[in-house]
Amino acid sequence: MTAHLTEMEVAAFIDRGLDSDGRARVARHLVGCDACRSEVVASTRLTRPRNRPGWLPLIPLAAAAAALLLYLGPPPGQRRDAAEPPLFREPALTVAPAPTPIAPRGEIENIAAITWSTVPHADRYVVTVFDSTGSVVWRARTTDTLLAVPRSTATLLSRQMPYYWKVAARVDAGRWVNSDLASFTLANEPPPK
Amino acid sequence: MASAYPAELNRMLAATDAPSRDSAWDDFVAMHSRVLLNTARSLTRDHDVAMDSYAHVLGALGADQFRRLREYVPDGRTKFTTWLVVVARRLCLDFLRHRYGRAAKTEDGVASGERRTRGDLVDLVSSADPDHLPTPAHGSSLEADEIRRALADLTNGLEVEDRLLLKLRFDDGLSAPEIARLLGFPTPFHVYRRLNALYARLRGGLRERGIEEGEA
Repeated sequence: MTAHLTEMEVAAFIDRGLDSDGRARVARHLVGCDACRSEVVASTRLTRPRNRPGWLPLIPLAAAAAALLLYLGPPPGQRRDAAEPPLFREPALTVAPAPTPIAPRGEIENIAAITWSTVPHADRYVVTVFDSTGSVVWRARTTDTLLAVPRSTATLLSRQMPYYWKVAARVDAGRWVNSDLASFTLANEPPPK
Repeated sequence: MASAYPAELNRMLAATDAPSRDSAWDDFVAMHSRVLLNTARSLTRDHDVAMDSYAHVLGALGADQFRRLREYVPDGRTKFTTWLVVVARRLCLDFLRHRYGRAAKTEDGVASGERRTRGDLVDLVSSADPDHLPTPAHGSSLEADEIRRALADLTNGLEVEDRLLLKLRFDDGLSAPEIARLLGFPTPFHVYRRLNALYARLRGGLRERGIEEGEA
């Protein structure tokens, strides 16, 4: 093994300033010398130019231009006349309606399932049941608008105690809409006949 | 060729009295402190140790009327900042070795990393087809050793730039853009193309030696 590379050789290899003979000699050394190769790799990473795309400074300009266009509105030729008949097209869905709790509500004898209204374009629902202190008693997810309550969970619920539940629907791009809280109470079991 | 020195260095080296030298030194430090700090931080995660290394680098660069900085040869082969990074990194390593001794553990780590990445190359060349992934039945250590030996022979027969390319990719784990920049490929795609050509060549060499794909 020959002596390690000099600082100038390392730097010149990184900057590609060596002639072909010098470069081949340094490359040959680097193949066999882990220490020098490690130095070249580390120094290359330290001198690496920042990977900032050239168009990045244009973003504020583009945002300003977009804001200006929004402010000015469409060009006169493209503005719709008030007398023009309306376009019969469904408006873009920008606000998703919240799901509405359907059952259980109020005093019930047993709880076998929880159901709520459909939310358009929702692909997932998460149901959460709380006790009167606000602690989560049960949580489950589904893609349907009905969720069966496992018997093991139902038997854990106390009677004559209020419980609250809500459902959250995932509508788009990870956005969730929550229902209002609904409450139910399990009535006392009827005495055996 | 003193005129080819960077202006801040030229000012410092040309200063004849202490006040102007100090002023030029302050400007030099202000201009390069960021890269020097980055270099110090690249070698340790400990903030205090990094700052000590940085102080050591500044002390070494300023010692003996900037003797270390005068070693820079502005012959157009390299930029001053690249050379400065290499020098600063060596100074930091000297400082850390002096304070903590040589890191035998690190060398072991490098060795194990190399073994792992060389294993990656063995896998890549000898079983590129997903249908022929190595299985325990096929993966006896004797066969793997045979492939490794054959592969080492084959890579030793490659051009030095190709051997360096494989080393950078598999021993040092450089990305294709990093390799492209260091070895002068026009784009990272040229790196991938070259690597694929090398894999094909190595596979062909293994086949000639009677080692078929999927044997590893």
